[in-house]
Amino acid sequence: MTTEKQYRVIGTRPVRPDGVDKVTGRAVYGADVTLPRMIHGKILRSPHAHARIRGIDTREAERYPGVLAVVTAEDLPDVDVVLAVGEGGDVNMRDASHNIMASGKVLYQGHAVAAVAAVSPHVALEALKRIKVDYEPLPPVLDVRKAMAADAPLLHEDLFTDTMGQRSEHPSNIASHLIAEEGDIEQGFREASVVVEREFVTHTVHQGYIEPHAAVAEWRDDGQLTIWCSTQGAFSVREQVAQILKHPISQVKVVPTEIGGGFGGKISVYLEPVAALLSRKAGRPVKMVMDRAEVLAATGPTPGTYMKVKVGADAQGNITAAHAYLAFEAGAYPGSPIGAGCTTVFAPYRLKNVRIDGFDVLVNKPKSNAYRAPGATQAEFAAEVVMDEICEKLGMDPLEFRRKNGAKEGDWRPFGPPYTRIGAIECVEAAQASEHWKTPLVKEAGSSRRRGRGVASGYWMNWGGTSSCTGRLNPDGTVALLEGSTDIGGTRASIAMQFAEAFGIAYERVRPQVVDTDTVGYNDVTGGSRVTFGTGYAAYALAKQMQREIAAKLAAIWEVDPESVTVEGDRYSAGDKSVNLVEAANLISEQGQQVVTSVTTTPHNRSGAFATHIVDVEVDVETGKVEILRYTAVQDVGKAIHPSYVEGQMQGGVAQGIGWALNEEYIYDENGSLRNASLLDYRMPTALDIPMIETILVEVFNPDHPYGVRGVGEVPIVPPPAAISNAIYDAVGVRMTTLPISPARLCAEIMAKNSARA
Amino acid sequence: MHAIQYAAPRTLQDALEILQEYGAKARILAGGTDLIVQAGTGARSVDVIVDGKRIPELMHLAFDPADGLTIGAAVPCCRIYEDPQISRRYPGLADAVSIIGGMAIQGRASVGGNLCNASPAADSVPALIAYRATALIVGPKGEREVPVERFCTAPGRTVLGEDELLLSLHLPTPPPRSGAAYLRFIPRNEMDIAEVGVGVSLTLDEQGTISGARIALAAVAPTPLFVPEAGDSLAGSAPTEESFRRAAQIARDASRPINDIRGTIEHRKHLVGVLTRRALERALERARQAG
Amino acid sequence: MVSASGSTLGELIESLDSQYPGLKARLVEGERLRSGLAVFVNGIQIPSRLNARIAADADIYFSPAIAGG
Ligand SMILES: Cc1cc2nc3c(=O)[nH]c(=O)nc-3n(C[C@H](O)[C@H](O)[C@H](O)COP(=O)(O)OP(=O)(O)OC[C@H]3O[C@@H](n4cnc5c(N)ncnc54)[C@H](O)[C@@H]3O)c2cc1C
Repeated sequence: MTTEKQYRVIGTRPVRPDGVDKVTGRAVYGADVTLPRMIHGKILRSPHAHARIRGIDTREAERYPGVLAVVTAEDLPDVDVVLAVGEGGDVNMRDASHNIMASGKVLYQGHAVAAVAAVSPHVALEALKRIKVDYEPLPPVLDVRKAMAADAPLLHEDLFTDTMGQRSEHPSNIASHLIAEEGDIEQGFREASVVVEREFVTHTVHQGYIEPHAAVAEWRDDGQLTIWCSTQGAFSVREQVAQILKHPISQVKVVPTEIGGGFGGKISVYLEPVAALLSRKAGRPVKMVMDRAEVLAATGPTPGTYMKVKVGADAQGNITAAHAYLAFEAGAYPGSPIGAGCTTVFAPYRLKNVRIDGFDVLVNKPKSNAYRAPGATQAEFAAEVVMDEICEKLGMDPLEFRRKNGAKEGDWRPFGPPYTRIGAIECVEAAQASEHWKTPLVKEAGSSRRRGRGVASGYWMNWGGTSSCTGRLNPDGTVALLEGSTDIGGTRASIAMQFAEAFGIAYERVRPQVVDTDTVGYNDVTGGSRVTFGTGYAAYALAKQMQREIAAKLAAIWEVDPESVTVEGDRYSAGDKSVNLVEAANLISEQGQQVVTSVTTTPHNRSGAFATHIVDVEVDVETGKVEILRYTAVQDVGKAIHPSYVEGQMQGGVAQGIGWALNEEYIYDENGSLRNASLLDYRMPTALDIPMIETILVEVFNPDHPYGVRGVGEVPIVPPPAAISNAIYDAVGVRMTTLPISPARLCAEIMAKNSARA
Repeated sequence: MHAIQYAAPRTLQDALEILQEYGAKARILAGGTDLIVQAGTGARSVDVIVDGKRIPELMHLAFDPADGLTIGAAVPCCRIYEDPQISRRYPGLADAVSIIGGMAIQGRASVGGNLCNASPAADSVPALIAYRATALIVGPKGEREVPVERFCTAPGRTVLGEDELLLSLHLPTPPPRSGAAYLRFIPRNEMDIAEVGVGVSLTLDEQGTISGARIALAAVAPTPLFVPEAGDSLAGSAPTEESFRRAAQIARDASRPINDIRGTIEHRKHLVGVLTRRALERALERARQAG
Repeated sequence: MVSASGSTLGELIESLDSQYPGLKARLVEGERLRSGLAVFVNGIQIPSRLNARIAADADIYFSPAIAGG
């Protein structure tokens, strides 16, 4: 490990700049934006999961008093097939266009077919009832395995399977088949003394961000389009809207509002282009806000899956071979996070013989989208449950097994160069040393309750991406720091802290703001755990660049060689001349000059984040209900810039992972109608369902970042389902291989086990 | 556009007149935690909302050892469990009203509304049945009384005529050596609708033998389900694990659940058995404490 | 792991294609690298362009482009 540097700002826990506004209700979110003359848009959605649209008659809605515009797919331009690598999967812009307004066919219940703008939301809703859509219902395909069958109804007659660049002969619902292979698995399984193979099923799960999607669009007569919206990436919205509407990108300005959660679900546009079209037609600003049912039924959840994992190990507990078959539901258009599933499935392990097959499969459900470590939670759930069973068969301690087989720098990984410096093993060791692991668990808890402990590891890769920042030195020596990265998890604080550290000033003297796309340089989306890493990197570069500019300007004033100006904290000196930042700012401004500096950086980030979690559960064996008693999350965070926010990310990820493990799922009927499109019946955990989550921060320096930062936001959602399933096994002796492990599912397994024994 | 009228009568008479004028298009508003939600989603179409909270009789809550407990139809749940005397005398009712929704909901939601909404999953109804509660109904032709187990007729439907309203609920004073309990199963720890609910009451004689018991179920039939034969099976028996299991089995056999998003038939039937036994155990404990 | 020569990505793929006929078709679409493909040179991802210059002795990885959330 590198020697610990002494930091002034990094590692402290200052108050976040956006905190007061948020807790006092002053912060402006998507639905809070109001413009003069603004009207309201609503979307008509398909009641069918799969149907051909024979015709749409909007005449009566257009005549309805108070209606100012009606649009359908006919109003959208024909979009080119541009494949953009998006968060969690590839985005074909033509598909994206059809997803926001169905063209020819509806492919899931909730698919948008028309939109109305009117003087009030109520009038718009009444007008929607007057739009007549003539549907020819088609049989829906709702299950990934059925969709893969040769005789399955096809969602797209022109879709063929791409197997590593080769196209299938016949059209299929399988959009792609990825293969990653190393060594010889046949040989590896022959060398094994224990082999475990299991099948897994998981269901569609939503990110569950509390703020529904909202957008306001104003299309002026001169073609200038401004969009206010809640998004993870204003520049991405600008690009998507420009492409979908075939409008010059220079004429689109996106103003990001505060965001009430996204977790990957607020990257794709849904409302923005529709609001823009309605605004163009109506000649007035248009606001659109989804309700909760629309959010659940018609945005981008993370896919359900069918998976099969087989692992072999020798008698000493070395993994000899591993095979994963992962089939992910893309939803209505290609682009599930199958690639990421393949990359992460066995990531915590050093493997010599491995094969991974991944399938991206279309079904009549909403187009899936990124959700915190997209694809990894499903894939690693399967792998980590199998690893637990291997340990059981070998009689081996599951953490010792993970330490022994842990991946290290230089080890193979699928779809990428070998690992760089990573902290997989360090996390396992920290878990072994934890209070939690060392405290024995009493298994009996009354006549109908049993307790168990489980562990699981997880991995999520890091992404660098492009970030830009602008800094302006104010006369009082403070710095206005303009950013373009949506702040979801406290990044205004973590970026300002890195800037303050590098610039030699106090954190309180930095004023970070997230600004619109015309005001700051390009920024990739807030996603891929990248902002504290990537935008922090840009802020560091900005600080250094501003110091050089200040030094150069002072050198000109002092008539000395710029090289001779030294910087020590906020003090600039050359020979007998020495000024602090306030004095420097004034000297420079007396010359009629200002320090306004912009940088754009695209750092490599070859690292990744590993985590190991420990959980104790209590199972009511008579009802199948699981209580989480204690939870410890250990994670390699590189360097915790603001430890509270790192802990918050870890706790939040675990909370979502617990929901996924125990109760969250989309429930469809046989026609493909979503039955639980409300937060009453789509059961996310409440405060009473989750204990205080203990965190252990492991800091293995990331050589790709000046302060050693790793992305921390995503990996904590990965281990919980497997850890909980393993703990349940420890408690009651049944292997739960379907998510969620709802009381009904667990109770049925426990009863089956009891009657088999009787 | 659909506009809704709001009326806040101050007397029972005024309220009844509005009901007579608008019939099925008018609905009484108590806490509104069902009505407003249903009107918002279009699940119930309403033209006139008649707020009952200004009518004194509907907000009346009183206990008297001789007469028992009277709960005005619009009294919010929190007033019941915050009253120490009532929650001590009617712990089975307190069980139910303190788990409806969360604290914010309990500040508004009424037992009357819970009953009139006629959801098969309503939490307070099995407890009311276990306590032999009766519903006092008023209409243009005067008052009538209906046992709570006969109040709901189908999901969302009750014995109330279009021109009638629920005035109050009446629970007799529990006999000595009696106890009651309500248990509900939900997948999370709050904010869920019952997958199964079981309300029970039992009374012991001086020797400690069960002299009578009542068992009612939630979420396993189109209406809250009273299972008299389950309670009757306990009369004359000692309160043992075996007699409780037998009663639980009868309750389980009587239940007629469906598969829906909140539970499966198998799990629900199984839970009826488990919860009935556990509720009986808790009621027994309370009966023994009551002395 | 295979060895191939070329000073640009395009030349490298030509050389690979002569060793493994058909490979080019899987990596290249028209005049461009297939979309959704990532290229790593010595562990670092480079822009996916056929004219990207490649140093001698470099380790090259082709992989499906995988994004985050
Ligand atoms: C977030 C949330 C959580 C909930 N959780 C639960 C729960 O855990 N358990 C549960 O059982 N329920 C739950 N509910 C449902 C609801 O809160 C209860 O049913 C509540 O008791 C209804 O009472 P209310 O006073 O709000 O009724 P209202 O909504 O005012 O009325 C309900 C119905 O009864 C009619 N009505 C009311 N009073 C009279 C009267 N005097 N005469 C004639 N008709 C009348 C109304 O017209 C309406 O149709 C929940 C609701 C919400 C929103």
